[in-house]
Amino acid sequence: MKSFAFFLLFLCIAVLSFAIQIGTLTASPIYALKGDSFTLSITLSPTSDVKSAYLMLYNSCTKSTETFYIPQIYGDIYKWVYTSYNSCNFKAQVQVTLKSTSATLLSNVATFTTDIPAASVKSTIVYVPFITNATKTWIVNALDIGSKTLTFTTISSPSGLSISPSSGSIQPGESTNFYITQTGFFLPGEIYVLDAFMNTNDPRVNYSRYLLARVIMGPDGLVMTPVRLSSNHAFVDSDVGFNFSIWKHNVTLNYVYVIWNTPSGSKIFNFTPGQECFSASIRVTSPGTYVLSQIRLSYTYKGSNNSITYYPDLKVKVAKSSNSMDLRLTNGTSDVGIFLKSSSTPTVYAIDGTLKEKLYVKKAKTTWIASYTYSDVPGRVTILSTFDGTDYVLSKSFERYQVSSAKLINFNGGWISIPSGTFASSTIVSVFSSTLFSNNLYAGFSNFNQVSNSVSLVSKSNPLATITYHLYFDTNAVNGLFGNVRVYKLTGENSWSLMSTKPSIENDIATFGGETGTYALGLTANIDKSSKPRIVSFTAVPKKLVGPGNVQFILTVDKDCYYRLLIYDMRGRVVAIQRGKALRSLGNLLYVLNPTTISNGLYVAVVAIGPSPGLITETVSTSFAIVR
Amino acid sequence: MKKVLVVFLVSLLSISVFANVVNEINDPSAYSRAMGGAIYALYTGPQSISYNPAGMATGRDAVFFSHIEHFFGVVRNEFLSGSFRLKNIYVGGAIQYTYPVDELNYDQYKLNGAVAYKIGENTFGLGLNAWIGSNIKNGFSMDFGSIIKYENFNFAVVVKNAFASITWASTPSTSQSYTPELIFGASYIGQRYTLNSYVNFVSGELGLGAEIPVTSFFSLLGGYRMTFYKELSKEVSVGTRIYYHGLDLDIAYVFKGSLQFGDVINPFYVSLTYNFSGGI
Repeated sequence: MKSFAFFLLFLCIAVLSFAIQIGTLTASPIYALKGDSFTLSITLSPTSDVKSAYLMLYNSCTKSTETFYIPQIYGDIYKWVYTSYNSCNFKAQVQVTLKSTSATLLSNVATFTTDIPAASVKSTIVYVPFITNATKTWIVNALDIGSKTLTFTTISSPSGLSISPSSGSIQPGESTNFYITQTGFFLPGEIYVLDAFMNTNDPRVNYSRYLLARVIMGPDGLVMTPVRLSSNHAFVDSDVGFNFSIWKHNVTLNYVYVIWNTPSGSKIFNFTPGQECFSASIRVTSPGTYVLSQIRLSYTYKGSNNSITYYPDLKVKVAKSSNSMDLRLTNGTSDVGIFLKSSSTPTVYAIDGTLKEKLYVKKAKTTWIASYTYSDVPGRVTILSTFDGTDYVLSKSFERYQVSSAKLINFNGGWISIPSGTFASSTIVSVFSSTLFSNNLYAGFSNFNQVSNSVSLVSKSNPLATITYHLYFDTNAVNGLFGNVRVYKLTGENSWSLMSTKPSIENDIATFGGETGTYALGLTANIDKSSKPRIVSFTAVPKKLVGPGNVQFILTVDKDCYYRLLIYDMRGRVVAIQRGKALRSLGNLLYVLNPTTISNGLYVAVVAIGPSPGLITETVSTSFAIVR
Repeated sequence: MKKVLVVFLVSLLSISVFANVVNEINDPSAYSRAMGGAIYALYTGPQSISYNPAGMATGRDAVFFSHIEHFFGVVRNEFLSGSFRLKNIYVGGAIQYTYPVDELNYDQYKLNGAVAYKIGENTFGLGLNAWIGSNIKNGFSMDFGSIIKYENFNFAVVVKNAFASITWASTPSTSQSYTPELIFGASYIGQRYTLNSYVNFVSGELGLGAEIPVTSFFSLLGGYRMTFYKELSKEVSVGTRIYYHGLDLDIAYVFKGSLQFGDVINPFYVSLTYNFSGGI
């Protein structure tokens, strides 16, 4: 009621005064914290007519009006400075008394307040000189130092930081932690400045946005892009492609390993590090789940060797199917024939670099046939087939390589060495390998027991030098008959021919020279049962194994025959048995004894041979010692 | 209780195939070999040093020698032992030499010392073994044995190669420890024949044998041996024992894997025992 009376009084005085110019009473700042000072100023002119000027200040906390009589005068500007020690709202008005008329004039009412929300942030500046995929998080604390609830929202500028919480409120006197996480993808080679801001309802000028953190990143670093799979569902005997890139600056890569967990164990891909894009495919040969579990990198940065392991955990479900696909590369052309067996109509695509082309498919008897002419550029070509009613795909891939000098080509099941000068000029070669015992459509395998993947190497140019093939073979399928491993070449559309050249056998690798074409390893199965074989020699190598290693047993016979090898300890117990076929005149490596599971000492190996598996016509023995 | 015992024995056998035992000719006697190695519960004089030291307590002083042609003669083994009696205490020693006859440069010696103490009709024995050889720097083990008589039965419990360790001259030298072998033996000693058996719970070996005296100076021997969980481990053996004025001549022939190679691999054993106090 009192305040109302004052206002009526002020209003009457104002009506009577008109001879003097009264400016606008302003408060600066309008919002401030308790303890801060406010300046209330007004312009009065001419000052010669001002007898006195008083400031009347109404305090909402005390609900009382205080009068300040002495202004600070700067020319025609009258100022009063006021400091509040409480969080209150204020109203101010100036009363001016004139000399000339003794009239009293009143100014406008200016308001200001110390009852506000206000933030206090312990900002941080972070310098991350080395960029990696590793996620980093920083914590920043914000406190409401005002008297009202502080509401906020957060923002990353530019994007690349994740801030939690993204919005909310803080009660007066309380604080909140903000978790700022680097989530963007940053390429090394640049310097990035990322700011995490908090927008608030703090009314003070220039206080509505707070910097929580500034993250300065780069330029050095090593970053791997997410891994991409060609498919998450595949049928057995498919090629599942995967690729990723590694971007780096001021870093040297030492190695890149990709590890797949397969139903039959781990499979490791070892990439050449001198590249940015890493791409390969895995041949899925068993039903179950294949998991791209780890990518291991080793790098050198500022003279220090470091390593990073990523865990992509990408899964490929592999199912059995009666559907099958085979590819046939034609030497001298860029054509690939696609042969499918499927109970339903397949939809076939060729993925050639960035091009994905749907292929025309026709059915011939029980086989679906398509063809594709690929471009003569390096890279992978994937032939992919989908089938109605299922997510699973069947795919096969082959690689094209630019050969201008000596080149080593790895494939699923071995590698090929192309010497320098093999081709008259730089040329494209294409390499495709088919899985051992897959449902391939080649006829002619009945002629021999296939023991390796087949590999096709084709080119439009004829080689001028011998190409060296290295094929892994299945030692279990060979069953000790290492000397019986032979090279077969696909000579006609469906016929395999035995090559006259015998491969060089070392451990489980057969090495042989050849031209372009399709090759596979097989066993000759023809043993003459009518003749009586004789043992030419039987040796253990070494006779005395001192230290770590293996003992090999080598048999030479005068005719192809069957053998049986038994190894006894001195108690007469059998510690190893091997059966198989031995070839005439060759030093047949019958067995490799790993001595880690048996005791040291003297042993005897006995070998028996015969023209048939059940008939033994000669036996010899040899002693050997193991001293580990 | 029977079930518990059966489970225990089967459990021992099931782990035995993985046990790491000393790789040596542990059955040098032709008499033993003819009976499937089952002489652990018999008193056989100085040859017992290689089986059960308690078996030395025959009541007689004796020397024993055996020769083995093993694996077509590729490996040979010579064994010489002797024992003598001091009242109830029997002391014995043995040396065993194993060597290949082809070009392999390897041999090994085993030296044994044993003592047995007879209490009534039961005997307890202790043996100490040492190895040296072309690639053996040194080796040591202990044997503990007993023979308990119950009516017409002898029962034996033997622990062989306890604390066994051999240092091998490898690059560098390596020391290997071996699993002690627990052996049970049982023999039935009848008027007209003897039935014998043993089982080695660690190596997985089991043997059965019989001796049938035909005349006062001649016995027929037969045996069967196998190793649990080892393919092609079955053996059938035959032999003879001839007694003559304290001289026991034993000859054994083992059809080792007649299933494997016919008769060509089968080892031939001959052993000779001379009993100083006279024989039967």
